[in-house]
Amino acid sequence: MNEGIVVLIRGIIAFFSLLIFTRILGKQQISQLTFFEYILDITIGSIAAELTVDLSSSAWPHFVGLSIWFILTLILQLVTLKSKKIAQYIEGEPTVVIMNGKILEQAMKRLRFRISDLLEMLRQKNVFDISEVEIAILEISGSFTVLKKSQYQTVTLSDLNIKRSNQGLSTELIYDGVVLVPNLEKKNLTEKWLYDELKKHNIKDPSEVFYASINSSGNLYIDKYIDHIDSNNIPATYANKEKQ
Amino acid sequence: MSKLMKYFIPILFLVVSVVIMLSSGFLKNAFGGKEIPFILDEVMVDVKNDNWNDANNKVDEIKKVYKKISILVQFSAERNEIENFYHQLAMLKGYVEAKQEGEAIATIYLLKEYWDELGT
Repeated sequence: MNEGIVVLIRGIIAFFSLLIFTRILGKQQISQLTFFEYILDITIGSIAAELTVDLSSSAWPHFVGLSIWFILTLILQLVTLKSKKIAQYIEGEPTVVIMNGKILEQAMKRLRFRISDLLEMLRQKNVFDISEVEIAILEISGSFTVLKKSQYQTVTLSDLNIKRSNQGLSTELIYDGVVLVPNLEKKNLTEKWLYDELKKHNIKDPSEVFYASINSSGNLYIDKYIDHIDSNNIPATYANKEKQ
Repeated sequence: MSKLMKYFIPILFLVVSVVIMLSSGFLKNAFGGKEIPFILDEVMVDVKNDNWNDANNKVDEIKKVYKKISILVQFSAERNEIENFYHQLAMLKGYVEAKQEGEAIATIYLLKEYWDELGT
């Protein structure tokens, strides 16, 4: 028995099976996962690892185990999507921990949430005084949402009645020295226009450019490979890293 | 990539993976593997009739066939299942060379059991 080749084949099966299953399960980010979903992901990963290297048992039972955890997760996702009640039962509900500047001790106790945890999470939201908080909610995913009292909220352009058009997304025009012609066409621009713009920045060829993009206002951003930054202006920590 | 290919490639991959993982059941009968239980029966008859030379040759023949089979089933069978058969075969060879009838017969039954369990 050639264990190296067996692990190679089983590794390929586990890797791509996991890739297919996770693609089907969706694109939730780690920060959006509930504690249970986080554990689910770890377990599924662990089974895939065993499928690869545990040669003391055949690959099939591990694959069945992997499939069952994937199917149950998928069923749970679909059920919680269809029924709000079941979703609340399985995943729990967001809990209000501060109301009108007052800490709700009962809720904190139920969640086994310490005051130091609460203060830390408030600080992460740039709140250093509990009295500024109108409502603070501990979400199902464990993240923290804070609504400050209106007098402590940041002034926005709409508060000042200032109108500004939406900025929209930038479009990449050059990536790693390569001109992205389809993107130019989408913006109704030509390669000639791009070359003219590059010339204005003393750039003879797109290969000198690491990244270039254009925003919805028509402003061009260009980053060259050679940055011409005075090393004296780099903070010491980064300068040291550069030397390494 | 067309929608058909987008779904076809992962489904094909999963199907091929499942076939590889379940292949030992039928691969163990390829390349003369099907004959192994019958050869074991013949070894038992030889042992009982004191044909030790024939029994020895047949044990070598089983080892030769099993070497090919073990390469085929290694992706789907358990490592211990594959190796146990080798170990017991080595013991059988020893018992046949030492002309120990009882131990040889017991080992043949054990080998049959291992063969039945291989890849199930």
